[in-house]
Amino acid sequence: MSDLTLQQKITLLAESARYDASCSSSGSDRRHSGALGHALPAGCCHSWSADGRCISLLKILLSNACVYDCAYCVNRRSNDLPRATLSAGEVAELAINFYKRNYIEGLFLSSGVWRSPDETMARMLEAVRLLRDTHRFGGYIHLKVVPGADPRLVEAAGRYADRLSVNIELPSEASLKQLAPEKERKAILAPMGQMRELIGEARAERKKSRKAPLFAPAGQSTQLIVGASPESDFQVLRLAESLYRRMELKRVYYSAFVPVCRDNRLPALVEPPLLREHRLYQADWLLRFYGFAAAELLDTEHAHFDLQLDPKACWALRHREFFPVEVNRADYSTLLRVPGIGVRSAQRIVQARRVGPLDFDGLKKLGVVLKRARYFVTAKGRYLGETDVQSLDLKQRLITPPEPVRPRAVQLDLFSAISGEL
Amino acid sequence: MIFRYDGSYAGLLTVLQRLFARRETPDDIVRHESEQADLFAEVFPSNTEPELAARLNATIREHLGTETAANLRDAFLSDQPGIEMALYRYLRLGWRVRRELDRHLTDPEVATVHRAAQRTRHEAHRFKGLLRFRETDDGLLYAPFRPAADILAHLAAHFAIRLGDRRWLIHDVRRDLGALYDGRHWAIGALRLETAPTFSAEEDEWQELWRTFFHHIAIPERANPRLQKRFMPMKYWEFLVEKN
Repeated sequence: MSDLTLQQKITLLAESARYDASCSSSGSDRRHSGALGHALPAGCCHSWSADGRCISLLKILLSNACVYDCAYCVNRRSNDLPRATLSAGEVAELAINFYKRNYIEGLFLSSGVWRSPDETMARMLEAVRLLRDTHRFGGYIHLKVVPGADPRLVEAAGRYADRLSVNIELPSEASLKQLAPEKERKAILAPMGQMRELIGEARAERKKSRKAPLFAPAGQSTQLIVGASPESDFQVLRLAESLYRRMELKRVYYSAFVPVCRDNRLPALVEPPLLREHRLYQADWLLRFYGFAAAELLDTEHAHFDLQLDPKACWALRHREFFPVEVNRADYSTLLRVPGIGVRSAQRIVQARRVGPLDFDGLKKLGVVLKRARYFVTAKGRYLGETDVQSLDLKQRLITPPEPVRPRAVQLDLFSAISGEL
Repeated sequence: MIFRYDGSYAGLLTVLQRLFARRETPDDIVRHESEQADLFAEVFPSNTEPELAARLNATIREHLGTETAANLRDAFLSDQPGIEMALYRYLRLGWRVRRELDRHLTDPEVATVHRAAQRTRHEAHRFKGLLRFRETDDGLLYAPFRPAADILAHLAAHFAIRLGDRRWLIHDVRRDLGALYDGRHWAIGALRLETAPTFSAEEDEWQELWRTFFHHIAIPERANPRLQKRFMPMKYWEFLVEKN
């Protein structure tokens, strides 16, 4: 193992790390001079890989050797795969040299479980300490927390990292038992709860004193795999909602299951359920920025998202009594519920109408896309849809037919929400 | 009347200050180098006076707000042809509606200026990520790039904080401008390299490691080159290590 070159190690450990969806580098604000690096609240994408996902961090495993044998994971013990391990020095060297050439915004370090959770965490911490203490590296660091690690190691991790995450892996305990029998739901939720406490405490202390120590200032996130187990979208979304509310997570990442190994416990998929993943991200945005609740978007009867139409339009079609709304009077949160009006458009409408009423022409000048919105709004009392909001064929009208000249054009828009930095 | 200035931001502010002080309406405001087609129009060459420029800037900040001042500067930096007249009309409306100016989003002049300013900021943000430094044999980090807008100052301010005490040179090859940082201060000036820079012995290795990482971090089952190009248009590939 030790005679691998750095090139070979990077190849193996990037391939092993790529199924983790998180790439965000936002949420921290660290400006100091002298040493190398700082972090910006908005985050920054540095490149985009061939799958269209943004690269903002050096996303890499410390080691892809793992004592676990989770069915869905490329690094499972029983997978016949060359194994590689980086030393703390190699990680630091890579991060610093990539950072100063402006390839990356920071480091996202994760690892296979090497011998035990404690030993794995301790090794990751060693690399991060080397970066922060010895090299005084000020860039963004996202550190993966290994379930089952000693709480003291988790606490130490938060002192060095901007963001921490522990992966919930699968949407239910039953699936976890089935596909990752060596992992326990309890061991995943325990560090999550501990981190929530520590993040909250550190934030409260910071309000009292600017000198109070930070703990994971960019918060914590998690990831779960969709499509490897039988849960419905409703179950997934309700889980996400409770993670946002009760664990105060910054982000939940959904990862369409990519069949990387054969296992008869896994569904036989031809390709990863990317559209389903996309719908979940859209709904996730509705939870976090649009004031929707999971129970408004789905219920036990409609437990899956419509693959033809986005979740907000589906909600609107089921709640036609809510529409049309008058753009000059509706408050911000009401505007956000109109299909076709997003955060930016709603903000611009609220700004612009303070200096004069808006008609449809004005809306267009604001850059509000009326293709869908026109069925759901009035402007100065006028309605622009060629049919009214109660009409039966409204759903058909909202589903845009694929453009004949560029048949892939519809697919292009699919993942814009995922890679957007928020 | 056509006003001609030297193409600098201070130069444009000088023109605008003169216009508003004399309550004159220009037919056009043009840059020094651009020869206007209209032979019969009267051209008034306006020499740049930093004091006049500073006075106008202070008035804008005081009466219209800092957001307007930033919009004006960033729209100017977009380098779009004809932006000068849009800025003149934007300010003219500003004197009437004062602090409400940037809420008049349906006004065509305001929209033009906002769009241009947004373009500059968007490109500056993009290059904060897409700029690539190469280490020369004497330890300087060198980053050539070819932006549409004049975003060198935006980037210089960003990297002066980011890269700590490391020396760097950012080179706008479209405008032959460079921003040089000596570890403490940065300055912008005309720049033309006479010989190609020589890079450190390690430089190639790090570039190769980065390319390796870049290729292997993509999930083959999710390949989507069109999406990649949408976020990272080909016009930015020229100096991108991972695309060369």
